[in-house]
Amino acid sequence: MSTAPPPFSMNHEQAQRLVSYIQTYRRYAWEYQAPSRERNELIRLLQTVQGKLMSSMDQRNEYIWLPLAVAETAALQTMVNDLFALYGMEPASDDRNRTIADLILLKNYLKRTLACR
Amino acid sequence: MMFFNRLFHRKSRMPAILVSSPGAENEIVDDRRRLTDAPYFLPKDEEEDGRLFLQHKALYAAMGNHYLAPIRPDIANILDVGTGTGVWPVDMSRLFPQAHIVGMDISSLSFRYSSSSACTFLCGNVLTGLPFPDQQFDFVHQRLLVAGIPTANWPGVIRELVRVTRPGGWVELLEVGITVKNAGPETTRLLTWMANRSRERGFDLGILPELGDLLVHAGLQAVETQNIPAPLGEWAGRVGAMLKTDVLSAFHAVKGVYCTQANLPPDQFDAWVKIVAEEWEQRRASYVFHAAYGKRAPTK
Repeated sequence: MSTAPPPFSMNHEQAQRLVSYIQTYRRYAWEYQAPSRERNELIRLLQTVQGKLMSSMDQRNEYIWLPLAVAETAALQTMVNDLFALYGMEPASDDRNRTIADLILLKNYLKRTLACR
Repeated sequence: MMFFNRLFHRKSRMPAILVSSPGAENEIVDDRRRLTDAPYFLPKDEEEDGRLFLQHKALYAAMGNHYLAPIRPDIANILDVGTGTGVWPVDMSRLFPQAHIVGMDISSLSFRYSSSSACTFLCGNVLTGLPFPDQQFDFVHQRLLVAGIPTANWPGVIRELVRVTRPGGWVELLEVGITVKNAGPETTRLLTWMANRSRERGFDLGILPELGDLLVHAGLQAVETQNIPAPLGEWAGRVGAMLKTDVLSAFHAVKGVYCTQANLPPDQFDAWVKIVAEEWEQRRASYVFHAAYGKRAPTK
């Protein structure tokens, strides 16, 4: 039996960056991936996570606790893997370094979360 | 008893507003039923309703959802401006079962669903102001109304959409213009010709890629614009074939009006469209949809 992973906690700035990664990924998927059931399901899950995140950010609390369903966690994991490949091709820059660092953190969190299901 | 039988048999085809006026006046113009006291120039008939249903399915398959804004799953009130058949509110009510969804159109001629506890359908004209108080909805959605909003009216329309949106709520627009990826020369020529006919009627399709700027100008935050290419043609399988049928049907819907305007024989237009459709297959074309959404600032 699968249970929901523990809520994902982050500060406002991290949440803002996660929103921007999700948006970047959705743009990429629409532009470069042909429509398919799998692509569309992934886009929908990420859109749901983005909605939860932005709505939590409106509460203006210092920390944001984001409850994620198992499917949403898996969707974020797919996104992170694809973003690694995309950002990996970019020329070296501070921005790229920060993004890669964020993605490593996110990947580790998601891995731990999925492992403790 | 006969009344109830009739009601039962016609339920899904029955206009939702039985007691109020059907909205804008209409008559047969250029072989199709069209509104006569509104700028909207696409037909309002069964053939067009069929196209709108197909378009709804094609868009869902191409974009992966019925909406793009990152709205909360627990929103309570949704407005669909220019709802047409009403299929969008009905499908959204399955995704948001706790929400009440209002579908509004200038005419009830196309309504194909009855109002229910989940969805209400009503007539209204966004060009003259939405019939709702300020800050009523969590999500306001408007799509493919390019044939109903003259260029000069866009800023006013967006102000209306924002006015009825609650703080923290979202406004979303989705339109299609004349941008085709991998367009061949005949596609470009036909779309330019159609854009010129639209401009003569007061509709400048060039405004569509700037919808995001209009949302920013109206004070919305977190505005995202997205150009979404959707495959056009059988080369892309079921989704491409659906969209191709939809676009060809849309061309057919404007044919009468545009041909009369430009004094072009309709059979010449048909022959042109045939060449264009072949180009889509050869060049693996995609029609580009212009989406923009933004959020009204939450209250502090």
